Amino acid sequence: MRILKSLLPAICCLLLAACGDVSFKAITASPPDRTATLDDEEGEITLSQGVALAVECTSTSGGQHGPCPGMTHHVDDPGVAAVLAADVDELRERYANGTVDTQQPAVFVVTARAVGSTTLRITTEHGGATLMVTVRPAGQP
Amino acid sequence: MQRVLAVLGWLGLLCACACDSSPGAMGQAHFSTDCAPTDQACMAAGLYAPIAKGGRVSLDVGVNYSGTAALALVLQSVDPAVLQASGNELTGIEEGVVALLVQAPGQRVIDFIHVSVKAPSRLGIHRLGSEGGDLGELSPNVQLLTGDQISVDVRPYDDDSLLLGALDATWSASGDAVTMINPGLGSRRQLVARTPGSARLTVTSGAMNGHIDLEVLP
Repeated sequence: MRILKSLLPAICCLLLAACGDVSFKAITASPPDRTATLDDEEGEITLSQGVALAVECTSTSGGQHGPCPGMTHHVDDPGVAAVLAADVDELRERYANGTVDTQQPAVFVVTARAVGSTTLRITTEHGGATLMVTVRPAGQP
Repeated sequence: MQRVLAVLGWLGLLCACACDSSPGAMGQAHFSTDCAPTDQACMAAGLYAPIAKGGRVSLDVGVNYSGTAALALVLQSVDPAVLQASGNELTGIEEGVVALLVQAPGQRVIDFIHVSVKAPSRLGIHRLGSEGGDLGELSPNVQLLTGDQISVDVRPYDDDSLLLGALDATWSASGDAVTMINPGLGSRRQLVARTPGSARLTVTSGAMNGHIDLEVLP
């Protein structure tokens, strides 16, 4: 019982982290006559074949809000889409338990290789999220 | 006065290099074609047109990233079936739109730009200045004086719109009125008007050809 009590804060932290809110926003636009969009509410990225979209990840968990800490990514079918980490020359505010500091944004670029669908899995220290990536034929906006 | 003009010239050159070339989607890189050093209009234009299918473009890429210089950048095409990237040279393969990634060491993306590839519908013969700057398309009939020399090159067009890219081309000139010299600068040719008369200059690239008629006056 004493051991359980001592582990309780750590368990709470882990649960809070697992239940954190991870959200995404596109930071680049579609090229003319092609599609490169993100619907964060639906968890969908739609791309025309050959194009790219840069996406920023933000998370909130246990009194913290800011760029997704420790972000990693994985695409189930790399033949359909690829994901690459990106560097952005800006700083974003991070709120942590009443204090504010700055961090580089957590950004990745999704590229559309072939027509089809696949799942993009994002993990962070505040939990994970999945995005469905759909690649349309190039001539279909 | 000369110093003021020189300073203004350099400012114009710097602005052409840094301000007016095509910006990347993330605003951290800018792209322009590899222009002749004195061709400021070319430098300012950036990637101003689709790349011709079969055309090769040497790209200049600059990066605006605070506190960082001289990054070893790698260009990567998302779809090499549409556009191939090798070093800083791009080659249009098939018609389409494709993202060209600019990557820093570790494959981290710094920026990207979407590039169009289009099949040319005709060839245009352009006159070049002494420093290689493009003076525009020659009219179908050109008059030269005996002893004149002009530099010409071939450019791909989609109807009236100029496309980007150097083409593999073969040249021929009929008659003895002009002599054609290959200066070893890609598809560029030097024409020397030798004797009064007429000649037809023809350029062929793939299945397309273009020509101009030359008249050499005494």
